Amino acid sequence: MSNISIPADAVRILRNAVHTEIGQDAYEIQSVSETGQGDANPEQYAGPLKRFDAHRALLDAIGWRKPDSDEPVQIDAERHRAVLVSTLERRLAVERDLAHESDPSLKGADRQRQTAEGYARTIEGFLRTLYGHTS
Amino acid sequence: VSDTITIPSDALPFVRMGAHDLIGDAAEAISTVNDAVGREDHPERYQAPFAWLARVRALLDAIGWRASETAEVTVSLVDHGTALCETVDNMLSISINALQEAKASEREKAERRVRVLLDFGSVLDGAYVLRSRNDPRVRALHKSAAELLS
Repeated sequence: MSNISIPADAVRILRNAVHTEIGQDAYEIQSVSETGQGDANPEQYAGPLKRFDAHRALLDAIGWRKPDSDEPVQIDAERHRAVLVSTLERRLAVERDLAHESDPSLKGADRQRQTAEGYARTIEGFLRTLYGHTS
Repeated sequence: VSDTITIPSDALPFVRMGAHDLIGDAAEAISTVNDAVGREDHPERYQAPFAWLARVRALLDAIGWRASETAEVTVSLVDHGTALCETVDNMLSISINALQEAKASEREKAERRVRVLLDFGSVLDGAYVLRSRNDPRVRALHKSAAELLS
């Protein structure tokens, strides 16, 4: 087993991102159910259920609850690397959108942009580590 | 009292449809927790909908996810009794509504579905000791099904 350490500032962003991913997984499972064709095409559940299980396992590893202050977390890189990368890449895209699309005339826009840029830098830094990490 | 129950071939497709419907309800319950403020402060709120989704998935693993000509299936009541009761009650409720709204041309098919589920629900009542015979919700469901069929 090869462990990887997630820095404290990345853990906080990651936890929030994985919670969001679980919501998306649940939405996709519900969408398949609502087609009323789940029993004809049960393979349509496979993707969202697999991602749901992977996201749950990642939250089991990093902790579901937001602590008073985050600490670095060690996780099994081999087991969680793929879901870690996909989750962070999606969140990075969101943060970049927020950084570039915030309307400067709106109240709090500057703060939102700065926060998004900071989160994006943190994610980019950790993703570089992940891309270079061979499990 | 047996530890297992056999879902007859006429009821199996309706049980499977009910389970596919419930999996969506369980996922929606997860979304509700996920959308609420404080999900990272109160992750314990996920426990009930996660357990619900796991129960329905396990039932579908046992009875088969895909509609087919599968004959009767025997499942463990210990492992699947709760999900089976939830599924049959849910599907009976849906089927009663469908029968009430059925056009004359659809009535026979809708009646058959209610009858099959009512019959299997009665077997389930007799076999599954944890299913309360005094559950007013289940009793009301069975009563309205029987009235519609009389």
